[in-house]
Amino acid sequence: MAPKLRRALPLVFYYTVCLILFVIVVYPVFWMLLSSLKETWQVLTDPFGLPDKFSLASYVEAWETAKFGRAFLNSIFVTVVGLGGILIISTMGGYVFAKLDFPGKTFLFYFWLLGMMVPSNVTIIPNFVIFDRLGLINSYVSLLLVYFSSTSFGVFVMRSFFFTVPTEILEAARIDGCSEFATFWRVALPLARGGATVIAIFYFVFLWNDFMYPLTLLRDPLLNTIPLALMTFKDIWAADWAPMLAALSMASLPPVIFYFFFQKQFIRGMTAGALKG
Amino acid sequence: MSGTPTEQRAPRRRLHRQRNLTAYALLAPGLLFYIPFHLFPIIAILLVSLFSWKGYSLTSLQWVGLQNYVRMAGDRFFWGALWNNVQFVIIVLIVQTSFSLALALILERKFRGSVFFRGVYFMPTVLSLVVVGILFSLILTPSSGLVNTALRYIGLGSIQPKWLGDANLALYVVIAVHIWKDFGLSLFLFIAGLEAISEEVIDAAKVDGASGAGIIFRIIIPLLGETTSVVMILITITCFKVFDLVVAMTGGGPFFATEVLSVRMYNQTFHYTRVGYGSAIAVVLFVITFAVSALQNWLRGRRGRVEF
Repeated sequence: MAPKLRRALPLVFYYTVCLILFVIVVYPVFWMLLSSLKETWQVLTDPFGLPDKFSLASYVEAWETAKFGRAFLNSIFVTVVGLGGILIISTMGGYVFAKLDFPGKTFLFYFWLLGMMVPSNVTIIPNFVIFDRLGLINSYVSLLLVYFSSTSFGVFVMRSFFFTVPTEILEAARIDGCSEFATFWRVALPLARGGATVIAIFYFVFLWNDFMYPLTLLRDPLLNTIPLALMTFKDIWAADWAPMLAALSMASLPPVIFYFFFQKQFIRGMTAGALKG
Repeated sequence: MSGTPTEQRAPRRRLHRQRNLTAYALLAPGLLFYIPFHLFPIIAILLVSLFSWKGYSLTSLQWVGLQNYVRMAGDRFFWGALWNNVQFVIIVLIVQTSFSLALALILERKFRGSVFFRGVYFMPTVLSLVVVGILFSLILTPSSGLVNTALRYIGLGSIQPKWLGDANLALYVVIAVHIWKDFGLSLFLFIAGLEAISEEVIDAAKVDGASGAGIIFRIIIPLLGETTSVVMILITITCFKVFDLVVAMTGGGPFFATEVLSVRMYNQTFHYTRVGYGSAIAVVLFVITFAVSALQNWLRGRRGRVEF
């Protein structure tokens, strides 16, 4: 009995800790989803109860009346285009630094890497002034230019993935008559897919959630991305919680659903981001 | 065998030139965006911080030298923001580092369900800070919020903190929410660090008669030194940059109680159009985060290893 108990005791402790933490982490999100299906009066008077009747009315109100649908599509557009550009630039850069030799390589690599040490909080003022001069405030062009310039991390990660592609394969492709670009595109890139997934996930989370740059560069509510729309809802729905919570739920669902499908890749992508310094 | 040496070298040289051209062509698009919109701003911000600039037209630029920095030194709201930021960093460093290390040690035991729990704990890190900030400001609303309602239900109705409305409490509430959202990342870095420690080292220690606590404190934690420094440096940088969460939860209030450097920089620049002064604050932020990044690279270099 005694040794059995001694083995069970740590397990009891582990489960207690893990379950308490599970509630702390999951309950706020669960409450958000559940309450978004209630009516506001019920969210306020009976925050812990189940909805009287499950209703999607708040979703309709947020999506249509408050134009959250527009913001949602805007965010998809900005994220997809931004991600596309970043992926192209990063894979090309990573390949060149890992697999080609040319004058100025080391210098250019560290020159590009420097960007990882500069937070967006620092570049925002000069960029605002530049885009103001260029007349690009209130346009996605400015926002995308900023995103296309934030590729240091992607280049850095792709380079390490291209290192794992055997040079012999590339040489064989060249001997078989592949052009330099085809060697990169058709041979090396498919072998470094894992790296592309890692940076795609990292940048997806970054772009989808980015707040400071859209806040600064976009003015017209029609151009609002999700975080900006949520901030305006915060004011207009200060007392009307159900549509607010519906909008918050819709904003969270894409990353959360992706996360549960691609957990391993997400954890890899995000912790790689952590190591970037 | 065939042809003179020069004839043999010519095609090779052409090949080289072609490869170099490919290399530059593949790098060009990235550098075309990187240089003007990422690198140039660093130089620009250092310059702008030496000017007084109200509005954004070039004619209103006025050279003031280090005046903005002098003004900063005498601005008690700047010092307040810096102090809030430093508290933010220190509290998250202590709480999040020790908590996620302890949790990693538990989850590393691989009991039934441990992988599921880890996966769940990572979930908040993919949410947007704006979502998290707004969600928690609803949860913490004094009258109808979840927390105060719960306190009333369990008979603690006399304790009804104003949370974000209380100037003495607001900063710590924001810090707690930040940890809620961010601890999963530290947790996974520690788990990866633990997985890299070989079983043999621990078995050897057991053979030598080390106890459970002895193994953790004498062997595992010292071996996690590198991971711990990565976690702590990451936390330091993230917390010095904090912006979204503060804006979404309090906007820097009440009475500047949660104003941090980024928020002060932003408000001074874009709400009061003190562009020069805002830039000077940005430079301070840049120097701090750059120094911490440089420290990280130096530590990494000293260990002779570049991760990823």
